[in-house]
Amino acid sequence: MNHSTWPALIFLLAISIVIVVTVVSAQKGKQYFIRRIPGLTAIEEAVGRAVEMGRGILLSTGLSDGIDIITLQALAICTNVASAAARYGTRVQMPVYNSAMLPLAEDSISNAYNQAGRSDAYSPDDVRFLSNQQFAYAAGVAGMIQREKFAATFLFGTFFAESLIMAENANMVGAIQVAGTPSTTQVPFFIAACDYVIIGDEYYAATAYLTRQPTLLGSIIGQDRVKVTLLAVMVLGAIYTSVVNKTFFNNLFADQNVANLFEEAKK
Amino acid sequence: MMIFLGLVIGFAVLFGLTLVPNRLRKPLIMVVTFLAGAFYALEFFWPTHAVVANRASLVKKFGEPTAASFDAAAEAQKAGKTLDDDAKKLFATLGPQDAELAYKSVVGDAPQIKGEDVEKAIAQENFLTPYFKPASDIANVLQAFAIGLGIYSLITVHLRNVLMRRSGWGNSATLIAAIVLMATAHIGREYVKEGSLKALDSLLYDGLMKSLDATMFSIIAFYIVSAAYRAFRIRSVEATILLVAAALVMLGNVPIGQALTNALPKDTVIGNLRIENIGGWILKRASSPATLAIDFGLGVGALATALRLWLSLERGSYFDEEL
Repeated sequence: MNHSTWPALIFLLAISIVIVVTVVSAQKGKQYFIRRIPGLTAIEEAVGRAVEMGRGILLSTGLSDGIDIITLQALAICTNVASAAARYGTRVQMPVYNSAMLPLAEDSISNAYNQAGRSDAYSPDDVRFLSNQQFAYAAGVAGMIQREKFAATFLFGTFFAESLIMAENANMVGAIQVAGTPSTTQVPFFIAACDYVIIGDEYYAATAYLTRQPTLLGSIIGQDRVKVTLLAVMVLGAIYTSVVNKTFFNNLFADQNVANLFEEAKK
Repeated sequence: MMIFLGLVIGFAVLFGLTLVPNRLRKPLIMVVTFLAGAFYALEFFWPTHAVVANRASLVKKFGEPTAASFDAAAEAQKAGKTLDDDAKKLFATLGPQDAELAYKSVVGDAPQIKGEDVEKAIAQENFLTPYFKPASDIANVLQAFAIGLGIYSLITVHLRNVLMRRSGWGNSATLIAAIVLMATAHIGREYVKEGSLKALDSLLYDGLMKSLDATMFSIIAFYIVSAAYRAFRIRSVEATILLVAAALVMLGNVPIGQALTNALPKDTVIGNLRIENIGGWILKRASSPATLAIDFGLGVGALATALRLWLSLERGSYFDEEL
């Protein structure tokens, strides 16, 4: 089992404090600005197009086995999309892969309808469990896409080989597609098949961008500050490793006791 | 009996949770989330000490260790074996009983016990590590309860389709029949090891389910072609770069492509221009660092999101409006 070293603990604590402090300062009213992200602007465009075409929207939170950060973030994005769609009276459907996600998804989507003042438009059938088998889920989603002829599809979360089955079927029915996944192996498939793809940490910036909530904006700024710090550590590490000691930085955040780390450094 | 008892307790806890007043639900979720996150964080960060790995299975195999003190080097000498320096150091990090078990697990026919063998028999743990598996089991049990919700949702939606004779109700009926048939065959097989249920389960799972899975998987090949065709059409500078890079990587990985630059000598500077080297360079020096950079940003994003959820700083997305 993996365990942290002291340097890793200190470093992680430091960067966590940076993020939390920025979030709290944003909650207290400090104003932050984030730049325009084209992939995220496309979310509004896709919802608008679905409204114009009078067809539905498909939301998918991917194929995660448990309730993890990636899926919760996907659900947060989908909730925002559902909220916008509900305001304009467009139907959204969300097939769920993981049954543990079902109550969360039902609650989030029905809340989105309630907040838009359209609780009457929410149907429990719109958020439904399909299958927790990868290709059975993909086949189910492909079937829904072909039957419902969605105007827009939003694929967010963890995806594997089935990503292309879903994206290509949506392309066949002429849906505008926005996808975002932290699964870097699936990003090329989404780029090939979808209209807009949110890559990297834009995935975690999506809710901040869509809602402009101070908490989320603060979190994004905190992340950026941490990234600058990490970049500085990397440059420092590269110089130190090249010039002074080859092993010290290699072992600094490795999974081993700090005593071994300094023994190694002495060699 | 234990499973039944666990099920009853589980339902009782779930029922109890439904009785929690609305105003207390959010604080309860916050406290449970914080405690669960704190457990995993502490387990990861708390300093560890060396113990023998897989203790339970070793005790089962060799019996409970009894040694009040254990000298691995002396034991090895008695058996006509030696320990290398790393092995001696590693045995010294263990308590006597753990060292005895580790010694018994690594001693074999070889005349020397090496450090790398002993390293495999050692694990690092702290006072929370033994509770890691039970904590994960709790998460698995909660997940198992959720499967019931999933099946309920599936059957409700499709039963309604059948009863109201909506379009495609036949498919819904087939799905319900498949669920019942598959569940009967698979659960039945657990109790009746041989006979018609086993044959039915094998037919449905191995004969049908696996084949359907393989069919869906193989369809991806055709989707790749159609998606790649659209992506590689030269419409912009980015698409052109994508096309050229993909062509070089593909040609570098097939004999016919490699044959194009076979004339270039391998171990010279000019050999770097061989198509397999260019393709390899694109993969290792351009694509991999870019992927790592994306992963890097994702890691920081995941940390920030996890902190917001763990400390219940998140508002609006799951609980209520931003304050």
